[in-house]
Amino acid sequence: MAMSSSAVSVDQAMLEPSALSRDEMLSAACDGELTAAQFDALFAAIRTDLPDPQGGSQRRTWNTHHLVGDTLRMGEPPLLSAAFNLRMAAALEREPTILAPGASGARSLSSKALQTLPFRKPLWMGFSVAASVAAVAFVGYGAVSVWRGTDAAAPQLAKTTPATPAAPTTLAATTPAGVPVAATTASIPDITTIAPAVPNEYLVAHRQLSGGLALQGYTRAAFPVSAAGGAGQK
Amino acid sequence: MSTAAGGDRAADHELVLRAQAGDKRAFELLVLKYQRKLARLVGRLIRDQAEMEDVVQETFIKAYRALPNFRGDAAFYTWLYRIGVNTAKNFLMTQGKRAPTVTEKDAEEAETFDDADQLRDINTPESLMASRQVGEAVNRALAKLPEELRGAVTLREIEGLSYEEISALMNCPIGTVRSRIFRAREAIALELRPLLGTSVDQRW
Repeated sequence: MAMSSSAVSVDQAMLEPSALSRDEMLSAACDGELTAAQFDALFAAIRTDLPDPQGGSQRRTWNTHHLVGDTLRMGEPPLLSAAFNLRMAAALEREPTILAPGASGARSLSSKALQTLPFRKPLWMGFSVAASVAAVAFVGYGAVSVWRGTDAAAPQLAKTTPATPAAPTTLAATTPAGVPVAATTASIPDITTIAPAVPNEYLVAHRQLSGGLALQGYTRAAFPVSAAGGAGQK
Repeated sequence: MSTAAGGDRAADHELVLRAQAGDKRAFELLVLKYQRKLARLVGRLIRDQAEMEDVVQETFIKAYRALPNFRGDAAFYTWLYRIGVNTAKNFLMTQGKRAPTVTEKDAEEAETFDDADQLRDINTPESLMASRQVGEAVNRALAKLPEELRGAVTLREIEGLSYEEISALMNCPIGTVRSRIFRAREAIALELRPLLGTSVDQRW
C-alpha cells in the first residue's frame, strides 16, 4: 500500500512543471547554483517562513534536501534527536545577535575576489595607516611652519618692537631714589639697541609650533629676560 | 567551468554574510546543512549520543559567536570542523578522558564522507535503527527513479559535479539538470516523509 502510494507520488513529482518553483529554487540553492538575485528572492521567503511541524516549510524542505544528500553520500547518516533540534533552536535564539562590521555590501563578489580586496584585511591595519599619515602630516606641517616662520616672524617683530622699549624706561623712572640702581640702570642697555631679531623670531616660531596659551605666557615672561635683564623686573 | 565545490562554497558564503549582518535565520540554514556532518565528526570522538549532541550544539554556538572573525579564507565547514574538534577535545578533557588523535586524513574524510562506516560508532540502538531506516528508504526511492533523474542526482550528490558539468555529461540544458535533481529529491523526500515525521531529524 505504502509502495503504491509512493509510486503515485513519485510520478506526480516527476510531472512537476518546468517553471522554477520556490522548491526548485531551494533545491538549486542547496547546490549553490542560484544567481545572487534568485538567492535574494528565495532567502526573503525563507526568512519569513514560520515553523511548520506538518511539513511544507522552506526550512524543512532545505533540511530534507540536505538529508537526502548526506544519506546518498554516507549510506546511513547520523541522525540527531528531536530534542537536539529544539535545544539547538532555543540556544541559538538566546544568543545575542551578532553584527560583523563590513559584512554587508560585499556579497556580490566571489569569495576569491573578496580575499584579494583591501577591506578584507584586518581593520586595525587601516587605522594604523591612517595614524601614520596623520603623524607625518603633523610633523611636516610643523616643519613647514618653522621654515616659513623665519620669514614671517620678522615683520611681526618689527611691529611689536616699538612697544617694548616702554618697559625699561618705565622701570628706570619708577626705581626709588637712593637705591644704587642708577649704575644698574645705566648698565642696562637700551632694548632698542640690543634686542636682536633672532631671539624673538625663535620665540615666535615656537609660538606657532606649540600654539597658543602656553606660548602667550612664555613670551610675556621671556621678553623681560632678554630685553631688560629679566630678574630685575620682578 | 563552475565546480560543485565552488558552488557549495558560494552558497555558504551567502549565508555567512547574512548571518554576519545579524540574520540568525541564515545561520539556522547552515546548522541544518552541516549538523549531520558535524555529528559524524564529533561522534568519532564522543560515543555517547547525548554527549555528542551536546558537543555539536556547543560547536554551533561557538561558531556563531566567532562568526564575526570568519573571513572566508577557508571553507565554512573547514572552519566549523576545527571548532568541532577543539570543542570535543575540551569536552573529553573535562571528563578526564583522552581524546583520540584526529589527523589531517580524518579532516579530508570529514569533508568528503569517504568513510561511511565510522558513523556506526555512535552506538545508540534507536539512532542506529533510524539511520538504517533512512538509508534504506533513500536507496529504495533511488532505485525507483527513472534513469535520468537517478543519474542527475547521483552525479550531483555522490560524484559532486556542478550543474554545468552534469549538463555536459548528460547532454542536456542546465535547466533540465536543475529540474531533474529537484524532482529526484522530491521523490526521495516523499519516501522519507513517514520516517521524518516521527522522532528523528525533525526541526522547525
